[in-house]
Amino acid sequence: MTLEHAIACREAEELDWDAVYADQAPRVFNYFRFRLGREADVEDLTARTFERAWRARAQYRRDLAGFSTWLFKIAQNVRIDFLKSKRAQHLPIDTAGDLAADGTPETDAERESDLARLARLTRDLPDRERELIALKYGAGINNRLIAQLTGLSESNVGTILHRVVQTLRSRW
Amino acid sequence: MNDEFLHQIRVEPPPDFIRRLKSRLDLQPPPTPAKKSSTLGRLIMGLLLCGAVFAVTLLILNGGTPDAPVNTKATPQPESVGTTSKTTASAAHSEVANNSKAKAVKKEPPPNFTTMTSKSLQPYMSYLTDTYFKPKGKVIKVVVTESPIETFAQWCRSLAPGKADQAGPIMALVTRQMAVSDSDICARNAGGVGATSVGYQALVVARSKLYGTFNLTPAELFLALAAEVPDPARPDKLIPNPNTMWSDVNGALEREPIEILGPDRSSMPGLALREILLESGCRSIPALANVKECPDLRSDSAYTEVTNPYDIAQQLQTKPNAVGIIPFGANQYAASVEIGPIGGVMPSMKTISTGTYPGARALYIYMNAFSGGKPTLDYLSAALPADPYNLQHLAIIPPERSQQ
Repeated sequence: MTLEHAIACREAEELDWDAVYADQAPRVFNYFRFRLGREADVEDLTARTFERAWRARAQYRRDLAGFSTWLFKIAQNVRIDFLKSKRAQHLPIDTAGDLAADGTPETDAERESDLARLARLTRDLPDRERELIALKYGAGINNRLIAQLTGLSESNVGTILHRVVQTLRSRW
Repeated sequence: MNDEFLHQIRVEPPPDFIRRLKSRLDLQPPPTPAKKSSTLGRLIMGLLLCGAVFAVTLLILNGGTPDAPVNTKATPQPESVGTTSKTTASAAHSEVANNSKAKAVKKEPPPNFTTMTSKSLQPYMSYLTDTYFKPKGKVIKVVVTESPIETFAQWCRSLAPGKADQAGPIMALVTRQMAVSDSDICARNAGGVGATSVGYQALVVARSKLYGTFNLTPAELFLALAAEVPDPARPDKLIPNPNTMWSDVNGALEREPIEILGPDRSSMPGLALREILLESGCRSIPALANVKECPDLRSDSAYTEVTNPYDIAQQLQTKPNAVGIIPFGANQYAASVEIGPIGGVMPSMKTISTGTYPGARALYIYMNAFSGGKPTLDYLSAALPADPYNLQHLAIIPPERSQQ
């Protein structure tokens, strides 16, 4: 273990992991709800994200990124892996909108829920826009953090979100 | 429906799930502490040290020179330097043109350093340095060349002997692998350079499924997109582009107006459009094959600049006549848009990475071995984003994705 790694470990240990978990778990949970547009698989993906983050917490570098940025990067990768595995099972890649819109696994009541309705309306949006909606309104994180996660500029994030919300409003 | 309403769609996770997950996390072991070296480990280290001292003593007694290059693979080898073969692009890390000086490789670039790239690639270079070096406290300047063709020559010349560790660009973002001639100058001036693949830049031709796609050749794309084209009566003379219908470009194409939606000409995808598609089309026309500079993008109503590439894909759904030029992958969220081949080759990760698709090019970072070299390139390569759409606005496909 290098000195740098040892310092990183110490910094990681200094974080109050209970507080981090209490704050971030609902955010990650809702991020996946918004991305998938349904309740199924959300608990599983949330658990995978935290298990991956907890296993790798010694590698977290406070000097390189905020904890939320690091955690949501993991969440994004978990989602990508999930979609890849779905593709391998010959399910449509665009599981989010399609499954929510078809609604086959859900009950009628769920299909009519606001979440399912949102999923139906966002299914034709570009993936990037859906990601922004999930990060902003699902995870409840600010535009600066979203910019870091998506590689967009902060102002671009604001502009796109404004435009998307207007589109959704007109279709709602 | 507004911001507040969208926030209200959030729910609290089931308490039982939160408790169960926390219990599972608490069972995980704490972050791995530093391992204490064992007695056996110390003994092995001691033996290795003794062996090294013995070997050096033998070399001195036999009149050998400890400074002589030990790794014969590190000697400059023109064959391994390659020319412009794109098939070797997947050989992501290669120390090209090392010599004994390369022993002085540092693991970290200096605190302040300069990079070099062309105007068309500057946003990507800035992205790389901002993301991977500035957070480490580095202060980085970018020297910009007019075209990617000039970058290698200027960079290798700038690596003055004995000054490789000082001012001057230590890193270059380029669109081809190093040729033998570049390598000679770089090796002479810098003592060695390292290289890594940093992905591909690719553009595709898209159209609404309602109308179906064209199978356009690079030359046809050029004749539809360029500001000037060869005069049919005197092919050595350029005239303002008179083509307004696709059938003007090629009688076999439909008699439909040329309406192309493409990236903003000053953006990175817009400059790529010029350097990749226009250039390859221009060079495929015999009368223009040897011109010093190919004509620019046309600025009349046949070409409409659209700032956001995702908007192009969206607009194509409502403009079935139009042809769009968008970054590879940017169509995947517009269900009614179809991608067409260029020169009979469909864009795919395989055709892009093997260099057979005419609408793409590979990108490489070269680095002076004294100022970071392979360790830095390894770090950079491993850290590049895997998210497929992260760099799509720059028409960049990261190498990790390209390997999928």
